[in-house]
Amino acid sequence: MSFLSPLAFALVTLTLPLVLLYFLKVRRRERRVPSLFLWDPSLRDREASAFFQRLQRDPLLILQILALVALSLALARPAVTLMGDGARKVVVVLDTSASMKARDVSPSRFDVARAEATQLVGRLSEGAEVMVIETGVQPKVAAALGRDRQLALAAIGQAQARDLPNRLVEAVRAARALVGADPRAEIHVFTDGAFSLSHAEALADPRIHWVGVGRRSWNVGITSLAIRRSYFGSSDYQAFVALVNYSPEPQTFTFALELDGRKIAEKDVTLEPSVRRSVVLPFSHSGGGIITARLQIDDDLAVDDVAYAVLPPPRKINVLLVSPGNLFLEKVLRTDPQVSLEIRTPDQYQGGMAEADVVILDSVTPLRAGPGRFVFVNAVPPDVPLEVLGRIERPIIMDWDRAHPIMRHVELAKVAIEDALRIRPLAAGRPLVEAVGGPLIYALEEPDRKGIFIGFDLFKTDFPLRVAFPLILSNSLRWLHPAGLDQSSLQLAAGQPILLPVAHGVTSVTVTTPRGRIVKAHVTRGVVSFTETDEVGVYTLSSARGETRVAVNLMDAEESNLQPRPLPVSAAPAAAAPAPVPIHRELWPLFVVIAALLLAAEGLLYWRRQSAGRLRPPASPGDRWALVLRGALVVTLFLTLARPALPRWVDRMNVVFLLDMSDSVSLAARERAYRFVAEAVKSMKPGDRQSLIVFGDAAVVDQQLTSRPTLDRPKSEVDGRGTNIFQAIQLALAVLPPGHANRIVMLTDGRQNAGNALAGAQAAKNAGSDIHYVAAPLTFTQEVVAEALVLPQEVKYGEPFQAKVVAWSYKDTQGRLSLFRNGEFLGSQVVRFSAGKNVFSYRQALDASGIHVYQASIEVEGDTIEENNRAVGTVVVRGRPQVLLADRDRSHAQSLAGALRSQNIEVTVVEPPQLPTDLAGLQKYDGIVLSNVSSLKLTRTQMTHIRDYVRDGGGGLLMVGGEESFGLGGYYRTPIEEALPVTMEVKQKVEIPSLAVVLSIDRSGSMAMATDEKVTKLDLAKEAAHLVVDLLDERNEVGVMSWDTEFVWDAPVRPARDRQAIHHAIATIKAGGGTDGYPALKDAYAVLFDRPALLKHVIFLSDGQMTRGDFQGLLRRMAKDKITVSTVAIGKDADVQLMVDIAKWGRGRFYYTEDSQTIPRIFTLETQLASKASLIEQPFKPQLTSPNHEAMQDIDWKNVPPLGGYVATTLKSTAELVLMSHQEDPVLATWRYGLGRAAAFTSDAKAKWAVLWLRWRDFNKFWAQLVRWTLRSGSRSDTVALVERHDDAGEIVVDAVDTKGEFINFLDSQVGVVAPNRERTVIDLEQVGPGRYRGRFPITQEGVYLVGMSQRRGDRVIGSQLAGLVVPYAQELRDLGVDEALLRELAELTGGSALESPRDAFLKARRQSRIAVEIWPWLVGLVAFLLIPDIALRRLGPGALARVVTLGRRGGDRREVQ
Amino acid sequence: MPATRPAPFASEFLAQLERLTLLSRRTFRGRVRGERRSPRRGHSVEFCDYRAYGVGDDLRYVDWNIYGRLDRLHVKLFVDEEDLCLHLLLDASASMDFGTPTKLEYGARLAAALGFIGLVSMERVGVGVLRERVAEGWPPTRGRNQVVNLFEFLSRVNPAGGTSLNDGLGNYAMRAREPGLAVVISDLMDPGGFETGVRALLERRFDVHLIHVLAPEEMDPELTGDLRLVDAETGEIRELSADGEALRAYRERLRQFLDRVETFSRTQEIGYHRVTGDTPAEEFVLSQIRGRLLV
Repeated sequence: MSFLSPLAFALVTLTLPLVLLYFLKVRRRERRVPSLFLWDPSLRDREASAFFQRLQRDPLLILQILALVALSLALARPAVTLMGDGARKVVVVLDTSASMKARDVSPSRFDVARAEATQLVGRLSEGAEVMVIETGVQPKVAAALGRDRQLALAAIGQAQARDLPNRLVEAVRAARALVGADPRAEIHVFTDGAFSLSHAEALADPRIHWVGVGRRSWNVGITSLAIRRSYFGSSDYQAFVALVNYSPEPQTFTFALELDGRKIAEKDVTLEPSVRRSVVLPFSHSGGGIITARLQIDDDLAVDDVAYAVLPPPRKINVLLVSPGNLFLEKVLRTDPQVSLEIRTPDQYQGGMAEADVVILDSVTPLRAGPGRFVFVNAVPPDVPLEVLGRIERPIIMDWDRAHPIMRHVELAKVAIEDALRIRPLAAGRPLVEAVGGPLIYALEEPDRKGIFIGFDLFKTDFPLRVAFPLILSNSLRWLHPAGLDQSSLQLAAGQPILLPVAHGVTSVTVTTPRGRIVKAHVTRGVVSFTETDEVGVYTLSSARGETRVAVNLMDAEESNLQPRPLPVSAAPAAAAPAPVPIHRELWPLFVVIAALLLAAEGLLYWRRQSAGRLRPPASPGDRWALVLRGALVVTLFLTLARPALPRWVDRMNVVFLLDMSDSVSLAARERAYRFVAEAVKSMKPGDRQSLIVFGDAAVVDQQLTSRPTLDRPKSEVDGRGTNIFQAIQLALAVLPPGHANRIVMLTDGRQNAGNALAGAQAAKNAGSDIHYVAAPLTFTQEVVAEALVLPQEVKYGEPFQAKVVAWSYKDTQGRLSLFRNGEFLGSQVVRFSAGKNVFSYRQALDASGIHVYQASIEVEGDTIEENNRAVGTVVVRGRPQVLLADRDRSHAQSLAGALRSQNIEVTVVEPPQLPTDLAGLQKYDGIVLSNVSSLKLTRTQMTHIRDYVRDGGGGLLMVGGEESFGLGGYYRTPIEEALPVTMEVKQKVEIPSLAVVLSIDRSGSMAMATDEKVTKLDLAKEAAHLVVDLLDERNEVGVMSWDTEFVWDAPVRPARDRQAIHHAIATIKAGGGTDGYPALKDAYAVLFDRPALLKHVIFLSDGQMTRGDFQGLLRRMAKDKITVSTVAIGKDADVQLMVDIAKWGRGRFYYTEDSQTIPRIFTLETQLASKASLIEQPFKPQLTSPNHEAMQDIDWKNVPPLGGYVATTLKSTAELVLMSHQEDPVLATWRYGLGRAAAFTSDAKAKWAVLWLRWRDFNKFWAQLVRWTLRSGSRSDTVALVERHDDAGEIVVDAVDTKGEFINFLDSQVGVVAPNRERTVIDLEQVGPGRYRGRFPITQEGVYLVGMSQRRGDRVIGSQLAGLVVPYAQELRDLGVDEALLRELAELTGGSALESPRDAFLKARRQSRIAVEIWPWLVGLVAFLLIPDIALRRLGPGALARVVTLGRRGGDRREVQ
Repeated sequence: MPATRPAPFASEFLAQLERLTLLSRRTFRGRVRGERRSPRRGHSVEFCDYRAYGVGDDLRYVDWNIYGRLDRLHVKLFVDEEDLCLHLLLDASASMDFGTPTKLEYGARLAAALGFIGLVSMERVGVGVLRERVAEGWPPTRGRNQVVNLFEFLSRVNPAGGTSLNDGLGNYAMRAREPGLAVVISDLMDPGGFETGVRALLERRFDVHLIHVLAPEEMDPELTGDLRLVDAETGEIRELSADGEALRAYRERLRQFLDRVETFSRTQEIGYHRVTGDTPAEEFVLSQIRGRLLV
């Protein structure tokens, strides 16, 4: 036996005053008695006898002294060293997930598990070490490893099951990390097994013992509740609910959907066993609310019988746009229904936020922006921490952050920018779009200011024309100001942290949990974070700016499925009993018990004596007080056995060092980090403790928390092929005792590639530890890293594209770059690398549909790490594009069709009548080429379809010229003209002759007959007349006459300048009467004869038989006088033969139409033909005006042959002129129209004008590129798929919305995944919301996962997609260098900082630990000291006690005795 | 110390007492005719004996029937009825001042009750207050009208001083003019004993009754703890730890003391009545000593 604090024996000296007290005379009560003679005189002897005799005889004194000795012994902390058998090291892992709340075993699974765990710990022998870990959101060490079984039992007793999904794997991982490789360790996992054991290798540890609870599965659960609005701003919603029956029998129950407590749907549902039933319930609601889905059923698990969703109340964002004028921004902002826009000019703005929620500064630099929420476009106010370094010419977009909320669904591959600001961020934030030379779009996150910086002028880029622009802008506004958070962000799975942006100015938020607890949440950098979402229900976040509600649900099928699944077989008990280990066992409780018993016995004896055996309250007050005091002393002694502790602040810190041992940290850097830590621990103060965790892909505790101020070289091995800072922090938090001043010091390069370090930092912040860091320096000085191979997601068949190899080099060097495609060597080249990022582009085109894997590898001399010299990328090539080529004459189309076919474009050639008459017929083509097709061959509906196909369907349209195209095809003011980049009007040049045209219109009764669209033929003729008037310019003359049996000049011939009068005149024409055209024509001749115009033309329209006059003679004369006549016959009743003749004699054209709708087109066409303005038949060499145009690349424009003519048109203001004629008319113009693209080539592609082109070397290429450019950019389908990587799983999300915006539900979705090792798995997608499907597949290998998806409804394929998910080789070695921004962010979030010197690890910003101090020694000591007043009370009475015993007093007493 | 004033008896009780008479085991020669048999032949109606006529005898008592039969003159003798002298000897030492009510109060009440009976049955009643010497007394008096005076006297008896029962009783025995019924009311707590005194009474042919008044706490003392005991009479101090052992010793001594008293009473044919203060005086009078001291 040894004594840990032998000084306590000094306490024995207390016996001295004790004995002294016995020398003192007992203070007696005086009592008169009738007579003493009944009292035995012999009793007097005791009193009168000598003191020493008295001492010997009094057993009480002996007991008191014994008790004092026992107390002293206890305080001396005797300890024996025993040989503990086995010294087991037991880790109890308690599954606290929601399924543990199941009541299939009584009272609940968790209680059973807890009881079993208690039993296990209870059975442990002396010396065993126990640790208790709860699975929670994070694995939580409830009782640290130690021999204190009581502590462990208490921890087990306090554990509670929560509404959380299962995180057992993490807990087991943490447990394994905490015990290290110790073979003695046993990990006992108490779980119901309601989870999938996917991480076999981690769980195959033979040290893990599985203890299963749970008996049956009798549960129906809601596994999904999703609400989606059918489109933005609508009040129509769809609620999607998935119910699963996990019982072995069919279950019938009532399912109800409530909105703010009001039932909006209720139905009885019967579910067969193991059946998942999806229900879609549409409803309408405006405003916010809470949706509750509820099952009325009494099953084993109640948590999943209810699910919540939040409909955010509609709110508007007040946006202040400060701009000298920017149409793009204004337009986008105005179309956003959630934005209320205010526009100011720069001189009206002085900085600050004014009343706005978000301020957009467009090329405006106020002196000070101040705190707030901003979008900075092409400007950096001086107080914004972005340093402008200069400009970047023609920046090439290298990559963008696809994970950031602002960049969702944004594709920036083809954006061209003329120049941009080169900036360097000085504060925390994230680059969203990166170019060579710096970030182009940057999200700034300062404590009191959030901003999006867009570093280029919107007028010097095509970015505003891309779909990405409105997306980014709208996402930015919502990221900056959370006005109407979308529904999905207000619905979380239990355990997920609430992370919501808050409005500017909100600094404190309180959270009311479903049970009504009110907690303050952290607000950091405009984001409120709250992590304790371990309770299902609705959380209310209240701030000064209003309330936001967030629904937290279990909705986890794994948890709802209570079926106990087979657990891994527990390994056989360890072969050899572990060697006994010496353990210290403190014996003080034994002595405390002895002392307590002694004191109790003595007290009892005394009491008995004082109450003469009757145990009544003693008569003397002194005795009464003594009795109370004694009772208190004994109780106190027994209390010490419970080991009471008091919290106390002490200057003590625990520091865990996280040593990054991943491959990206060189050995030299690791050594430096080790030295840093070794130096740091030297400055530990007494009481400080340190621990060392090494991490790579996983984290391992290398050295347990110890107060030893020295450090061993880390011995643990970790997989260096990854950096998981999150796990390291998690493990550190598990090591650190809660409540102390804890600190995490990271020595890392911050390049994480698994886990989310910020989540770890958040957890650290919640646990009260701060994170400090030491950035690991980069010591790979020769390194060149192939960072990425950037490829477009999808290219068209044969479409050329750029494969960009992004390489990073530490210094200027040179090396060889090789490119492979699908494992096949493509070529290699010696390239120069400059320090920093380098981009090498290689032009590629693929003519095999499917997915293609590109690989780039770099060889550089002196490069040390092999693995990071490769980069992989995938590109999906769609099947051959389908193009519909319509030509007036099938044979004329051969040259163009051949050109396209030679370039792998599938062409269907049709003549105009075969053009599809419905939209569906068009949708199967990726593009339409109209080559010399007259609009007269098309119905108006067809033209509308073609326009919609381009605008809404994203299809491509190319019009190729010819004598029946453009204006000459009658496209003036048609839907197709809307879609084309040119208009049919012609700015007349001087040499075009002036024209006088007379419209001679039959106004007989038959013209008043309504056509199918309830307009009369006359109305159409009048509309045609209006158009003709508009078409002519002011130098031309026009006249309108109408006739029945007589004729009237409604508008006498006059210059077209006076349009209003002519229009007015036309509008007054009324129908009625017979048909006699001759006099009218004759008078038209007479009138025109006198006109000075060079060209004179009559358009003669009739729908019936007319009186025959001498038309032939009249027309001959007219022809002689150069007056031409065209005729238009409407309907079958028309005198076609006569009209044909008139046209023939009049040297005009004859039109017959049964569709009166074409009349206007015929008129305008006629006018254009007559004016001869549109047709220009002169040879010319087209001039390239947009050399950067994508479709014009790689074409030898120097040797382009001349063209023979074209149709004149006018370029629309927003269209791009690509080729120009000698008269500066457009030859090739392109633009984007709606979702699609359209091009107009005003010359032709056949042997008429393009004779020389047919022999041109680049003819095929030109046409193929042009057509490809117009083609639809994505495969047109109602479904959109997204494949993303989430740590070690790939997630596929498919959104299905049909063209009308309706969600497509209950699709049959199938996904095939081909792993890098060619292994094929098929996974099913599960519907998770209205029109939304999700599936996951595990990622276990590096390389490319090919994902093929198709969605069917019945037999019909709704959509199919192909995608490749690149799991890069050695991600770890790709990101070299230090991510200081991340480290700084982690540190700032937790209140830490960068460490300059090793001493700072312990000394900087020292905090005090709140520790629990065991107070039993104090209590025992107190009892020992109080024993003296206790005895004194008895012997001297309370009064005398006040006059504390002195020796003088003693003398006085003595005399009294005598 | 409150004035010892016996609570006035309830009238019912007094009515009950009126029906009682004192019982004497001996007859005494009275001084005046009373209602009590006298050892002398007298003139009551109760026939007792015959005797031969002597000269001077009252001829009224000659039994002429006998003379007719026997021709001898015999005189009828009748039992004479005389009064009885009741001596109430009340111990008033300091030791009587214990208990609730104090033993003295209790004793005084008993004395009052007995005295009342005596006075209403036309006996003479005298009171002797026992202190170290009989300091005061109530000379034997008769007559109903003396009841109030008796009560008045008894109420004025205060406890004080020590006792010497032997001296007190001896003294009284010597001084008493005529013996009679002597009722000694005392706690008998005299280290010197009481036997000599009682014997002195017996020698003067008193019919002696001892009423031994004890306080309940004397029978079963409540004393606990460390005490300094002070003798009420002598002022003697004894320090004592009243533990179980001490109490056992006390009870043992008490038992011996009572045994001694009882044995003495039995052998000397003294009527011995023990009463503790918790027995109501009325009950004691009406039931416990009835038949032994009272009829």
